[in-house]
Amino acid sequence: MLKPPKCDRDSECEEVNGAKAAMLFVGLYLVALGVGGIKGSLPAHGGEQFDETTPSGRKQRSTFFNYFIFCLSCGALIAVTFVVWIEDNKGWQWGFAISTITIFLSIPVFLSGSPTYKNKIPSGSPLTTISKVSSISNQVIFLVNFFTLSMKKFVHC
Amino acid sequence: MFEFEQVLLAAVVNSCTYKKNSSSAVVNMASSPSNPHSEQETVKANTTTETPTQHLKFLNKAVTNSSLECSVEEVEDVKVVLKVLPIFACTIIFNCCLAQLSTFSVEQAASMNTKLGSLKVPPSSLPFFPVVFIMILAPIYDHIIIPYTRRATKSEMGITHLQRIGFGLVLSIVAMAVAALVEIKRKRVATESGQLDDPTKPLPITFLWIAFQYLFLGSADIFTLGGLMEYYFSEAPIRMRSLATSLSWASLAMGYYLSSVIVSVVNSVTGNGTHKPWLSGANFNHYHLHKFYWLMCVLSALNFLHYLFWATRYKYRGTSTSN
Repeated sequence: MLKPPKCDRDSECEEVNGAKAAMLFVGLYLVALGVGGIKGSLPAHGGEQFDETTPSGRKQRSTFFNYFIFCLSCGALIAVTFVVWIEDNKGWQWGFAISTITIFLSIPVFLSGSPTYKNKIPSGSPLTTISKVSSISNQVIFLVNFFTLSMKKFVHC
Repeated sequence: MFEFEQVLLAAVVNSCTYKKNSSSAVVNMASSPSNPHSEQETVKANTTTETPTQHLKFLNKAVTNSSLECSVEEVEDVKVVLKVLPIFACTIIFNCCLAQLSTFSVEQAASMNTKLGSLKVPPSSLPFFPVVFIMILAPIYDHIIIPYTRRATKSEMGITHLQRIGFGLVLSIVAMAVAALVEIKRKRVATESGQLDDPTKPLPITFLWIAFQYLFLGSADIFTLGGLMEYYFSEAPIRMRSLATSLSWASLAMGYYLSSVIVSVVNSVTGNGTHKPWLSGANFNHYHLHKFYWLMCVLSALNFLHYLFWATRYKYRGTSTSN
């Protein structure tokens, strides 16, 4: 349905526009939002799980960060071999489908660990989320204020 | 200078007044839920017993000024943020080098003979190399190198975060030099085989040569990216941890963006008058890509000196490296 007519180097290619372009960019930005969210919060969440008051806890945390990068690479390895092969031979839609299904499967896997995650208050109070969000937005507000103020100073000087 | 102080003070004020509404909720997160009394104790300990540290002294005014009502802890947090920012800035050029891995290096390899036995490797599979190097190096680093350095230095960390990041930066300099040399070799092969103007046929040189630059950049990645995440995580104030950890990704994004800025700047600077721009031409073989790699090499080296300036002056927070 969204597939453009076939074209190669000799013939003119139809440019994407209108609703199709909107769909394309919405998809792209959603991917950016999702990847940004996951990559940004996973290492911090993982790092929180260790007891940083003891040397062994800190050592384990160090190992966690190394293996976090290791796992990122495992995913990338599957992406550049298996998924690339699918995309080249079966079509791009299947490549995206496999990635989407994998992400969907990862959600229950991640959530299944919830009872054991450290920074969660066992009662499941909504306070956790609210405090988390407000603390993060405080930091963002602080940074934004800091930068706008310094920019203003620079402009006026 | 006075104005700069005012700015920072204003920033501290803002952060303090915003924090007031939710300070109890925030501290709640930091202390363990099984110990409800620790909340008050932490707050008390931070507001009454501590005195502000002596570096970045001008920020301490926020504590003594009664109308600002900033706690020592809040001021110290702002100091940490200010200390981390220069280190963050130094890693942007590093990520810029990393960006070459997925742009020009792929183009280089795509012009070469990509056959491995009977298998023809598609260009989109080339990131295979750094990924495999990281997968081999990460366990080696964690289980062999770090325990060895821990024994050798008799310290808990073995290698400090900043040493680790710095080593990654050095590797990225080497990687850019290697990339330049490989490109010179690739171009010589193209000239000798008379294929300078015929980019359709693969060059008679195996694409495994490109693996060298991937090897160095891949290992730079595990040192710098891993080091950065741990460094931000352990140095940042508890409230800012997730924000700080994602700074390593922000630096990645800025590096990739800077990469395209550098390419445009290089093209507009070298393309004036009679000269052709370095990074354009009838086909890829007419690019002066090796000069661009040397430029990146020099930029990374300067960046490393800049990094050394900040890293040698850096004082770690007490919590995670000593005790």
